[in-house]
Amino acid sequence: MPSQNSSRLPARRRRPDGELTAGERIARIVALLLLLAVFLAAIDVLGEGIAALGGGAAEGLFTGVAHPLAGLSVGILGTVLVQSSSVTTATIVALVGAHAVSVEDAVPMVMGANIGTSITNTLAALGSIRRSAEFRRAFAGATMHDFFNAFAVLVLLPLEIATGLLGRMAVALSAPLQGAEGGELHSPVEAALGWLPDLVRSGVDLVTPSATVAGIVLIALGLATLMVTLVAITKIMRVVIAGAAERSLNRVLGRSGALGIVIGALLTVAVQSSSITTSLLIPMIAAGVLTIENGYPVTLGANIGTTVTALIASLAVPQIEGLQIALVHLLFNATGTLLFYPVPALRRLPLGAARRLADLAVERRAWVAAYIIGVFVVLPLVGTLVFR
Amino acid sequence: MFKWLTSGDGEGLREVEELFLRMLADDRHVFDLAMAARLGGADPASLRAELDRSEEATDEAERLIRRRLLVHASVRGSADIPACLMYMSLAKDAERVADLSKNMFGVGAIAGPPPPGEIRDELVELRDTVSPMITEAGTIFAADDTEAARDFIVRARELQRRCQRRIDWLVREEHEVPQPAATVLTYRHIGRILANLINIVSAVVMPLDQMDYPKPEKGGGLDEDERRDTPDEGGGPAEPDAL
Repeated sequence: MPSQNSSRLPARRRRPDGELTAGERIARIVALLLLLAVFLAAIDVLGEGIAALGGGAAEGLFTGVAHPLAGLSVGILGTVLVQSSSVTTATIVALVGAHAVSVEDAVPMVMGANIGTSITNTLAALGSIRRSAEFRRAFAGATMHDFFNAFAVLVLLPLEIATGLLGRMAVALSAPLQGAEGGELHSPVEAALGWLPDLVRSGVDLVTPSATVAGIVLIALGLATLMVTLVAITKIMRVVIAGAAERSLNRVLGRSGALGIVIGALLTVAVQSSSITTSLLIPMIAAGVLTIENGYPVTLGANIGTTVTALIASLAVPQIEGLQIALVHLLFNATGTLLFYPVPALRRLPLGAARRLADLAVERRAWVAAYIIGVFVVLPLVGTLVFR
Repeated sequence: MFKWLTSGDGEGLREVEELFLRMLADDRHVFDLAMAARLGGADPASLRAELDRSEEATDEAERLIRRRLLVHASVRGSADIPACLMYMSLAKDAERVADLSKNMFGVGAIAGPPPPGEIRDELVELRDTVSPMITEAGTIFAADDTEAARDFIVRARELQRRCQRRIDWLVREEHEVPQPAATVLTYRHIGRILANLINIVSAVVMPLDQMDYPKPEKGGGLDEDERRDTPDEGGGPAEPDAL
C-alpha cells in the first residue's frame, strides 16, 4: 500500500497557507503575546476612563442595571451588538474593577452576555434555511445553546438573587489571592504592563480639555482596542489551531460525553471565542454527521472555555472584584453544565426545546425571525427600558 | 496543551488521502476474490464472507472520508473546497470499483467458471493486468506523477476498448459461446472498473471541473471520442483482439 507516499501531500493538493512553518508559528505566537498585552492594557485604559469620569458620573451611567432583569437585558443587548461575549465580559470586569458596577449588579449582566453570544451560531444556522431537513438539524443544533443558557439563567438567577451563592463562591475562591491591604489583587501583569495605560492616560490628558472628556476618550479607546485585539487574537489562533480543531472535532463526531466538554473548552480558550467553536459545529450538525446529542457537550465546553477571557481581563484589574465577577462567569457556566448535562432527564430539556423550536421553524419560517428578533432584540430592549 | 493546540496542521487531508489509498488496496482484494470466484480459482461460497467484509470496508471508508471532508471544510473554510470535492469524487470512484467487483463475484457465483478456451484465457489475462492497476492508480495519485498518469490512462483506455470489442462481438451472436450473458456482464464490469480507475488517475492531470474527462494529450494516444468515462461509449462494434 502506498500510504508512505502520502506523509506529505503533493504540492498540487496543498493550499498555499495550509501548513505553517516553524518560523510562521513562532511569529504568530509572538504576535499573540503582544496582542494579549495590548488587550490587558485596554482593560486598564477602560477602567482609567471610567475612573476619570468621576464617581458621580459613572454611578449615574450604570445605576440603571441595579435591577437583575435590566442587568440581564443589558448583558444580552451589549453582546448582540458587539457579537462577542468576550468583549462584554471583559468590559464588565473593567466596570466592576473601577467600582462603577457592583459584583451583585454585574452577575445578571454576565448571564445576559452568555445568552447574547448564542445569537452568532443561530445566525450561522440560517445558511441552510432553504433546505428543510438540513435547517431543522442546524437550527436545533444552534438553539440548544440558547436554551441551555436560558434554562441555566432561569435556575441560577433567582437562586443568586435569593442566596448570592455564585457571588459568595467567587469571593471564597478569590480570597487566597487578595492582598494584605484588602481589596487589592497583586497582579504580575499589572506590575509588568502598568506603564502602558499610564502612558495612554498621560497622552489623552494632554490633548483633552477636561477630565470628563478624557474619560470618554479613554473609554472609547479602551473598548475599541479591546474589540480589535480580541478579533485579531481569534483570527491568529484560528489558523494556529486549525489542525487540532479538525482532529478534535473528528473525535467527537461519533461519541458523546465529557471529552466533548473538554474539547469545546480547549478550542474556545485557544480562539478566545465560543461563537467560533459553536459555529464550527453547525455545518456538521446540518449535514447530519454530528448529532445534537454529541454536539451538546462541545457547546457546554465552549461556554466554560469562554470564561477564560474574563479571567485574563481580571489580571489587568488591581481590584479583587474584577477577579470575583470573572469567577462568577466561570461558576455560572460550570454550575449550569453540572445541572443540565449529567442527568439525562435534565439534559433532554434544552435539547427537546431546541428540537421543538426547529420543528416550528421548519413549519413556518416566520418563527425564525420572530424568535431571533424577539429573544435577542425586543425582549432585552423591553427589559432594559422597563426595569431600568 | 500548547503541543495539542499546534500539532496536526494539515493532517486532515493527509488522513483522507490515506483512507482513500486504503480503499484502493481493499478494492484490489475484492477484485481478486471476485475474479477467483468467476474464473474458478476457488469456491465462491468460501470467499463470500471475506469479500463482503472487504467491500463493506470500502463503503465505510467512503462514509468516513465524507465525514472527514465535512469537518475539514468547516474548520478550514473555502480555501480547501476544491480538494474536498476532488476527494469526494475519488472516494465514490473507489467505492464503485469494489461494488463492480462484487457484482462480478455475483456473476461467478451463479454461472460458475467459463470452460477452458479463448474467452477464459482472455479473462485470466485481463485479471492479471487489471489487478495491479488498481493499486497502481493509488501510487500514481499519491505521487502526483503526471507522466505515469498519462501512460496509465492510455493503457486503461486500450483495455477498455478491448472489453468493448469483445462485448460487441458477443452481442452480435455470430459465434457459439458458452455463458454468453455472464461473459458480457464480466467484460462490462471490468470495463467499468477501468473507467473508474481512469477517473481516479485523471485527478492527477486534469483540473477539478475536467476530472473524469481527460483530454487527449500530445503523444498520449487519446482520441476526442475517448473522453467519456464509460467503456461502451468509446467506440462502435469491432472484432475482438487476437489473443
